[in-house]
Amino acid sequence: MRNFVRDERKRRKLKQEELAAILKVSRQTINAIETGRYLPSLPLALRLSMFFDMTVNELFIFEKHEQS
Amino acid sequence: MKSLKVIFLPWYFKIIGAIFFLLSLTKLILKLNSGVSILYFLEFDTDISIYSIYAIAVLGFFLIAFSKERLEDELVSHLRKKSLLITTIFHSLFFFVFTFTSLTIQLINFPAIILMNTLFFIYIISFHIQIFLESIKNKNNENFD
Repeated sequence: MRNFVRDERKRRKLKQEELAAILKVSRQTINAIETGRYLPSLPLALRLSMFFDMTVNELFIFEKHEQS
Repeated sequence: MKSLKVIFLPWYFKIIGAIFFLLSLTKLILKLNSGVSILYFLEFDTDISIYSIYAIAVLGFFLIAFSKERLEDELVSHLRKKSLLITTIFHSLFFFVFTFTSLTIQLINFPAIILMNTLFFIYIISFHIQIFLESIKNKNNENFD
């Protein structure tokens, strides 16, 4: 699973702490999501996509090899 | 996991738990210094002071294990679930080892409060190791922030 959270955050010139504060999670959570160590829950994925004004499909890329 | 948050104690209970643990540790050291063998700690049914060491420790571990982190979010909940799994695996292995070996009879005589202590101890250790590892990985990635 790839995601564009880091790219989108940087595009908006936000720090991890700032994004974490907006979404009411810890900086570790944002870092873990960005590096792919942790897959967010559906509510958090939706909050992220709403914040970045994107769809979940645009923010998170499900790669083909993961289907099997 | 939101419903689980409700049953957790406020974060400062961790400090109270740590005080209880240190108290039992102090009692343990004092008891060992008085010339009691370490094996005596497994046969405490007649000695209430040994029992109280375990009882205070289990209370301390309980408070540490069931206190919230300062920021209890879904990553912490995820780590809690992982730690619970690790604890279950370790404790099951412990019981398997005792069940399928000649140590079975010792398990029957094993005080339940020690098992409670090991249960909480494994959980607390695995949970805090994972939190620590997360913070290390977090620091390693700070350069890319």
